[in-house]
Amino acid sequence: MRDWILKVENLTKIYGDGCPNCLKSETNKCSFCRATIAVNSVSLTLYGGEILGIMGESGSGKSTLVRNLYFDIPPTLGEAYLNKERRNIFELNSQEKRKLRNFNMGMVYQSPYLGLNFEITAGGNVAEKLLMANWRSYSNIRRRLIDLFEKTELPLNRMDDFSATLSGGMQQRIQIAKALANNPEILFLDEPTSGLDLSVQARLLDLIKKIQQELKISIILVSHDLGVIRLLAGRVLVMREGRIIESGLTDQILEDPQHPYTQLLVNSML
Amino acid sequence: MQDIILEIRGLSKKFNLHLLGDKVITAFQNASFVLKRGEFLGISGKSGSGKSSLIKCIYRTYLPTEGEIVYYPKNRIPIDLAKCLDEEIIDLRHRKIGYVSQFFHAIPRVSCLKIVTQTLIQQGVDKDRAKRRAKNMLLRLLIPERLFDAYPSTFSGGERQRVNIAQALVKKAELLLLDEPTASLDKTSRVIVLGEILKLKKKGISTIGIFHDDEELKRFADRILVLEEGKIKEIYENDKDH
Repeated sequence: MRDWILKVENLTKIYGDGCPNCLKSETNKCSFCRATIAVNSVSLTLYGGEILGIMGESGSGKSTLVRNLYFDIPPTLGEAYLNKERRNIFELNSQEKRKLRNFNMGMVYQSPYLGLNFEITAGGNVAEKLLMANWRSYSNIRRRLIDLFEKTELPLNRMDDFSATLSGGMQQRIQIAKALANNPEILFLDEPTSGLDLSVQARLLDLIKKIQQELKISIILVSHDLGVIRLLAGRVLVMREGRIIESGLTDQILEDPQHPYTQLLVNSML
Repeated sequence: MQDIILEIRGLSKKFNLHLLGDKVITAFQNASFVLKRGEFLGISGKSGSGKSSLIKCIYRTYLPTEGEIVYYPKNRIPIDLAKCLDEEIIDLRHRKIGYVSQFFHAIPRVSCLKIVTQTLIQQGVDKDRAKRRAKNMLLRLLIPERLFDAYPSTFSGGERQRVNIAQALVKKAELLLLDEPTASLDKTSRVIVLGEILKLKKKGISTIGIFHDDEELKRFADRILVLEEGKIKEIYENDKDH
């Protein structure tokens, strides 16, 4: 069996003061203190070289969960461990967290506005991640950029264009190039293809699959699209109201869903 | 337990359809039987008697409701397929268990050669050998070379099913699950597919198979398990040397 790469235990994110009843709340709104429990006691294991899907409707806590793990948003409670780093990563100091983020993790956001700096060039955005991972030589960076542009099927002649002038599909590729720049162990993909037209989406999904197979990278893929999950994920977690309500092999979740909500979701598939 | 590969005890599958007011449908119940190492166990029964559900439970496409599916891998500790981790099932699917589904969900935009090659790579075969073996298997199943780089989603029903069979048979699994592999095939390809299955049987691969056609079943099966309305009616030795 494959080794685990990331283990998350009882991760919780509460917006508001919170109270002892929050964690018992059935919904993501605590009926006692009115706090929002975006993520409620989530535990998961990510194994080496797998794509773990997280599905669920808007507002179920999927994005907050991955942003907690990428240190964008600090969680309220909970622990996470990387295979190499046996300390709870949320208890590391900010410098150590930044190091993990810059050297071990990559992120692709649904909106390129979150993942890219539109004031600088496409190449500049990718180079930024390399600089953060301590790349210093200009020629090495330039060579790595060309390599990453080729890997993500981006036209080299757009490298020095401003990110804002690129198409939506290209902007997502830039995000992927940026996320892969430091050869991360873990890649977080937060609805990477939502809002793109079908052919662009298909090419992007194929690219993600190719990269995963070549680099054997471990991926957490957030998507509300069952087709995307079926194509890419080996296992799936289903989230609702901040909690994981069901998990299983992708074919099992799609053919034999147990939870009423998952049954509804699968039956809603076009 | 050297002579047994699979031991099924008190296995049941019920579907709880929450959208239909928690209606419960029983696919099969209280199934107990063993599969001997190297044996071909045929499952027969009318449509709707629970044959496919039984196979899908063993493969974890369906989650069993009750019971145990104890798998005895060679030189390893036994493992209960009904309760083990998803991750362990993925590992077994990659390396030990082959499955031919009744309907093939071809992955979009992946060539048929790649689909078959991939299953070998997952099993740890190196790329060049995997490709060679995949090509061989496809040719033996009458998929012409000009289709190797085409997508099975564009294939005819019979061609698609042969790709499905190729990806399951090529990897020489320890346990093979067949859910009506020949149902959508014409006579010529049916004979060829049956020949390939027979070859694997001679190599000692343990198989549970559902066949649409009772004649086909009787040609292969060492024993036949008869399902009737979700219950095992009988299991009998098949006298196939007539």
